[in-house]
Amino acid sequence: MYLFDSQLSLDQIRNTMPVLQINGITKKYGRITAVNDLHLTINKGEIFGLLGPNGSGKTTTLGIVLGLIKANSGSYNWFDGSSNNNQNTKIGTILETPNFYPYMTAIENLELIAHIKKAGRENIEPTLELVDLIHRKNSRFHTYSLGMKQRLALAGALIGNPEFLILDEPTNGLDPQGISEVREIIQKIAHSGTTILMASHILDEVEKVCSHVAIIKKGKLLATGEVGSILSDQIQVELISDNNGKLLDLLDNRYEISGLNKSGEKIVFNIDANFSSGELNKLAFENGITISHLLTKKTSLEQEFLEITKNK
Amino acid sequence: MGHLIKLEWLKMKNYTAFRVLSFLFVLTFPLLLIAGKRIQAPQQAQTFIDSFYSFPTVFEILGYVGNWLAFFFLGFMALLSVTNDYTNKTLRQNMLTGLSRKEFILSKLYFVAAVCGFVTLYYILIGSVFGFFNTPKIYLSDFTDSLAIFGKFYLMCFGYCVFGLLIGLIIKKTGLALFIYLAYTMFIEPGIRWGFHSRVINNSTMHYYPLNAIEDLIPNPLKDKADAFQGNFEGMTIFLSSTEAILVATIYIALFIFLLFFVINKRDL
Repeated sequence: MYLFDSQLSLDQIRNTMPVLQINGITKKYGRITAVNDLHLTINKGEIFGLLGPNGSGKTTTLGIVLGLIKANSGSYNWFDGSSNNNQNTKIGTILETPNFYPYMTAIENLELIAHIKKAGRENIEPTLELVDLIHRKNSRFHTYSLGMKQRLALAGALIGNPEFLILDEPTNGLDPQGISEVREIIQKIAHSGTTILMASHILDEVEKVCSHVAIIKKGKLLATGEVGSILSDQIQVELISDNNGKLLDLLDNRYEISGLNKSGEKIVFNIDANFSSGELNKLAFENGITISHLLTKKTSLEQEFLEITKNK
Repeated sequence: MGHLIKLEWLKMKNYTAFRVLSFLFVLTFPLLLIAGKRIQAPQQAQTFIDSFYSFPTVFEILGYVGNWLAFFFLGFMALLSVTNDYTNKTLRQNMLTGLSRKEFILSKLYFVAAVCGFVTLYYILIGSVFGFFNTPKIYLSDFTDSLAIFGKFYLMCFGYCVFGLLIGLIIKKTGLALFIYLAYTMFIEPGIRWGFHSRVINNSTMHYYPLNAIEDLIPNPLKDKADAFQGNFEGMTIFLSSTEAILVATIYIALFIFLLFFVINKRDL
């Protein structure tokens, strides 16, 4: 079920234009390995989710490709293979907390960003409108609430119409309304064809927003591919019958079964999403097996994510 | 270059500490001179004091006043401009936005170089005004002879600023950086020079320290008298000669600039 780099999906074959390639990056802090031989390719137009629990090396990875942190080994290439220093002017970034000059207004802070990016000032006000801060454009940054700061960070990332957006936990610390607003904005941006790399520890967020995903834990890549193929919906079945072994064999011929567990008489396993309990009953009946307990539930992505990260 | 100076200006123009330091500098520079002139002194001393305010001595006196002010106000300003970017994590943000590490340091250097330019012009202006009203007969040579001191004044201001930038970059934290900036200049370096160096090798090499060299660019105007007093005693002068000061200060400033680039390139941000 793991699609590694070498196995490209159809979508990727149709449109393989790597925007960012990460080749075996390793970063150590003393004895701790934050990122461990990480390989990733992000193609144009993808909304790529970097998914992992807290402390899995997501931010360190982003810090490395953005030139803030020096990797111990490995390399990365931006756009057409050139990894020159000015790549960041073509990238919009939110990394961890929003960082602005507290004594300057929203407009002044964005003007500074436009100045560094050598971008025009004409899209400052429309961007503030997009993130719904236009009414506070002349307030100093330190008077902003956390949600507003996060939205201003998003505005900052959009200055100069970047080809590529890097968003590290973009909904961190926001209330539910703020979260949905930010997600809406991200989806709006994605529709315009901008490539997005988004780090998150929230599965739900990745599932809702991203087209592709890479799961990392303790700096190691566990799985990567299209969201649907990695985080597929499966059905979990709990079953007690008078002949578990035979029933499993029968099922195994028709479906893909994984994650088999036995506890006493009860067996628990995952099965394809097109499975139905009616069919199971029919199959058991035809073969003279009596089912005394049957419980099916859809496994959430959450469980699957936990499973992937637990076993490795 | 203009692009990078403007970048720093956009950051600093609304920064309260920068505004306060600039305001205080602009105010105290001439005020200290005016205050000196108002001191009531006995008749003989008065003639001596009056000579301070006429060409070309006025530039030496004002330069020495400027030496202290530049040490405090300009050095602080440079130091704060770096720690400000650290404490607000905006240095990191600047890099993310697309500024390179090299450009970051260059923007600081260009900006302080420009500020020192304005300060030097201000120094020449105030000195000229005082000199104009206090010199019975003015010659063009009063200015041409002073060109060297104008240059040294600029180098001194720039030296304090570069040292402030370096301390700010190394220490990162505003309070501690200010403390170390002051402590190094006022206690640590003199302590090493007089408490250690002079006891091991007692010759003029004990003056070849960075902040001492920068300070000696515009020395106390009474240094000739001090040298005469002290010099015979120790067999050496207590100040660097003008040429020595320029040479030593320039070498240290170049070293500090090298260290600025070295430190920022080594760091994870």
